[in-house]
Amino acid sequence: MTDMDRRGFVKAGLAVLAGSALGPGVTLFQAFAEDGRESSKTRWGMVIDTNKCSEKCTECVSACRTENNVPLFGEPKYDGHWIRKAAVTPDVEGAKSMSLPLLCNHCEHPPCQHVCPTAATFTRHDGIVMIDKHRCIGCRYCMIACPYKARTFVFKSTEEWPNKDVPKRSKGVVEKCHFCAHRLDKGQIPACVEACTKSGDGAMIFGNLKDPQSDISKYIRENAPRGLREDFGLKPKVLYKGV
Amino acid sequence: MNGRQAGVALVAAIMLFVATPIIYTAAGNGLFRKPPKPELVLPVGGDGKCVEVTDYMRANHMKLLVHARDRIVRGGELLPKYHIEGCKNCHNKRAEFCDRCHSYAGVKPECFECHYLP
Repeated sequence: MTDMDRRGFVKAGLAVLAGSALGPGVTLFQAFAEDGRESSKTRWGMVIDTNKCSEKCTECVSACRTENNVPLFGEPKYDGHWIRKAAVTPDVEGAKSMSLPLLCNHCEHPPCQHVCPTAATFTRHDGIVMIDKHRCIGCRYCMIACPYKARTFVFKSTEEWPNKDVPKRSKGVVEKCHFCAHRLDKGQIPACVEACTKSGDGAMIFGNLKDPQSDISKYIRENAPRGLREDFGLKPKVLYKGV
Repeated sequence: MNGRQAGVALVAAIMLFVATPIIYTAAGNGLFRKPPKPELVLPVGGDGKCVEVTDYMRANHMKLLVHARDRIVRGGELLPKYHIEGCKNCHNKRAEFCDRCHSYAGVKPECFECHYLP
């Protein structure tokens, strides 16, 4: 008799569990379908045409500084960089020199996110690798992990605040490019891309990699740009043509 | 009065004698007075309504902001209602509104180190 009771109890318990798990709405699975990384319909990416990028132009860098309040202290060891231009001098005779805009590559498998002890670095649903500066403790593991040196540490708090719609940062956190996520949420394109287009070079193309009809997808199909150090297997979403 | 009662009375008298200046000083420094309530300058802009009722906002605005923060920053949701940047549409004088209660309650929120509120 007691055995039957126990069996009945287990059956009833299972029924209750199943009812709550697959209850009205099936919210668990819906949440995954909408917010999960794999299922999002947007995946932002950028292509930089190095043939069009002129060596002396630094419009993207200064636009980023004003848009995101990235400080310049006049001392190189304290200065923050979200996007910077690197001059590439070839060691092969006959090859041309160029200057590359370098920024966060927003890797599909970001090593900075893997090493973050507080999960402050995370991948947003649209593929942007972001730092939650509220959570960052400034341990700088991510700076060591990033092979592209896209991250800088904030040693000093900033005084000037050119764009007051965007938060600045307090000292003791790590910062990097986030593709101007606040602008993307408003339907605009990142400040560097806008500045590049305005300057007349038009070397930067920005768009949704998952949309086969977008400009960037068409460009990738026709020109096959490559990411930097693809052998790392991180699948960067900033691609370069002519490197 | 026996000896024991006399001893207790003596101790009580000594304690009162010692404590009197302390009590006087504390009273002078406002121990028995309630500090005046902070005077808030309510915003004039907007339609006079916050996103929730006033009493709820007084008690819980920090919780709303923290929860919205996680959903906006980490989830990428667009939540203009609870976004800290939306506060300044009406509350455009931090020194006369936010700071008065914060200094009264002795809390030091770190929001304004990075987020601009005029």
